Amino acid sequence: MSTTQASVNKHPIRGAIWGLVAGIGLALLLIAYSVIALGTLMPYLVVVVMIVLGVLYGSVGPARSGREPEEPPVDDEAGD
Amino acid sequence: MRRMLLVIGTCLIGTLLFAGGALAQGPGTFTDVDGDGVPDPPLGFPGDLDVETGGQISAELKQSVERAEQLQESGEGGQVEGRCGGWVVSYDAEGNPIDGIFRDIDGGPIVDFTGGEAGLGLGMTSSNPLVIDSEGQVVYYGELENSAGEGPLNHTWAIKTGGISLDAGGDDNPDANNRNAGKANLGEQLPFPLTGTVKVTGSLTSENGADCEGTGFVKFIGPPGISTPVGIAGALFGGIGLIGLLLNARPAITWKA
Repeated sequence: MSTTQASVNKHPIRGAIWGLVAGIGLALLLIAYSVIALGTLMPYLVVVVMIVLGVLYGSVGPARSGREPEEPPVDDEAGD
Repeated sequence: MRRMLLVIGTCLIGTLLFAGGALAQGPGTFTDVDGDGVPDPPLGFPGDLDVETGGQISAELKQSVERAEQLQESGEGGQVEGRCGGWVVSYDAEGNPIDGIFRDIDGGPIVDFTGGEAGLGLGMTSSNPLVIDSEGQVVYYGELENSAGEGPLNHTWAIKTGGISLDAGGDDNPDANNRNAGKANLGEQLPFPLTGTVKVTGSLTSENGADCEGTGFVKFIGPPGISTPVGIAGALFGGIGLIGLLLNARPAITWKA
């Protein structure tokens, strides 16, 4: 009888990359609306925070549950 | 030379200002002198021939600042080092004056002379930036120390934000001019409207020592941020990044036999 084991694949690098992209976008939007000023540390902080959030999401975010493989059907005739 | 003064004015390097005396009249009392649809400050016709009038306005603004008992302080920034000064007045796209700053060539802070009931306040700070309509116009007057009877010779200037160069240039200034006045139509000169607040640093150096350096905040206003190229780029990057996070970076449970 075979057994299946579940494991969680984490994606911190992907999270960092997408966090970087999202952070750049968020920083640009905040600049365009004068929430933060270009030329200060704030845009960089926004990007860094988004990278950190991306890493956390890729590491400890809610896992997407894959489909558990079905048990192979028991062959009643096995062993005959 | 004109660009040098624009730098000085717009970036407050040069100590731009606009003010006191003009303030006394109220920014809404300016009339359209040259018939271009934009009210002109008491400068007359902005340009090379207006330096005398620009200097007189500077003197009036200086008196207004000296009469002020206390300048309203708020935020950081708005600093100028060097013997340079002047004034700047910004107009919206309809030609209405919206903001103005001044700095005395003999020293002192950058002053927002359109402070309203609060009185004169420090200008180009993080909480009180110089407001410029990216579809409007800016009128400026700037002057530098007249070293040994000369203006800055063989000067170079640069405008930066966050260490990144926005613009740079220079001039040998053969006429040895040390002041200028002019008008910049941002609606025509900018490739596209932009919005947002920028911390800028400007500097000017010359071979005869008439140097100046300043830092301050400029807030560009215009169409809604999301409709500007910067806003559109931000929305695209932000949307793509969030979608990528949700679909490509989420941990996944896998099963192994």
